Amino acid sequence: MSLPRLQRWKSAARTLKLAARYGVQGCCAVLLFQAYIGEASVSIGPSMLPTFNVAHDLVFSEKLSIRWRPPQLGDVVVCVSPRNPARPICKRVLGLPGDTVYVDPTVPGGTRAITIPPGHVWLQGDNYNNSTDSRKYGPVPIGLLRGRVLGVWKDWFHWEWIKTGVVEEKQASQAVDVLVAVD
Amino acid sequence: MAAARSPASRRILSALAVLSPLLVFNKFVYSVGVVEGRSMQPALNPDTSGTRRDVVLLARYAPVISDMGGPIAHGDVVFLTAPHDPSMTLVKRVIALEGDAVRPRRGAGEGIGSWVREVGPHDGYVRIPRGQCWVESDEPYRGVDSNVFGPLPLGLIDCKVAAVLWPLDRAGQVPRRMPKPGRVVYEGRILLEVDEP
Repeated sequence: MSLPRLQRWKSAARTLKLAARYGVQGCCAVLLFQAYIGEASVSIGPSMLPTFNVAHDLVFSEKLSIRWRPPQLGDVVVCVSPRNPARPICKRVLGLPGDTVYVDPTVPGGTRAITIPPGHVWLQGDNYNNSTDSRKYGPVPIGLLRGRVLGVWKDWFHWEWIKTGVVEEKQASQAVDVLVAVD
Repeated sequence: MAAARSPASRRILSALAVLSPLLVFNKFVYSVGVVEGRSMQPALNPDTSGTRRDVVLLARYAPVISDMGGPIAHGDVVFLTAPHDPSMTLVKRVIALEGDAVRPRRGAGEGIGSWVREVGPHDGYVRIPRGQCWVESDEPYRGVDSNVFGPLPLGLIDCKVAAVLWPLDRAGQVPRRMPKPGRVVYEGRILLEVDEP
């Protein structure tokens, strides 16, 4: 082989090696970031309407705070489905350990009360009419929670932060006052 | 570009380059863990004084690949997050998987999972729902297991104990131990035989 040709081969091999190295390192960094810090994923399904659309919403979740700050009432969390370890689900925390919840007063036999055991939370989708959640499979161990949802990217130029927490009773009573006034 | 960097920053960068694949390996492939407690005697930590702890090799890919119908199997020893306390890790043996039925140990069931035995036919067996499993300590009545909190979601399983690393005289495969025949009904097989008169 002529010398220039050999040099060209050598430089090509060097480029390839460098590309492979950066490729592997990049993949590792992405995997670690996803596992420990946060990720963006497309949410699918009607259970979180109207907070998330049925499809095409990009949901941003962070996985850091769940390690030291226990879930709070009203948080939207990412969780491994208790019925399928391969499936992540996204629901809202509606009950904390020690709370007593009525399973689902709208269906016959659903008025039984469950006291949530230690280390568990009650999860429900925002769309109560079309959601498989704690009403079906009971309280979910906190160990299955993987992260907290920060916000949703619904469309170009349309970013929405997730509102957590519960509506204070004062505001609710104000709303009632307004309704009465209109009447 | 590279030549412009100071030697210290270059060293940090190259350390990170080595570290990230290592961390990925540690998180997704294999890692090493220490077994605490005596609930898995005599398979793990057989020393009765409880001072010597076994060091084990943990297969972290197992729960991942089990999503494809794979390797969490009956008799595996697993590390899992305690359902009643997310900061606690338990070491237990998987006794039954989805579709099986288990007769809980006598005297069990006053705990968190007591509601489980009220579901389904009243024949003394607990059915394992889809995506869940039944885990037990090898040593009966030591530590909490599914006899207390009922079937657990497979998602709580963190990793599988692949082998014992230390002490060297017991290094190798974890001894298998299964419950007494008749206590577990695998996918309804024994139950069918019992049901037919």
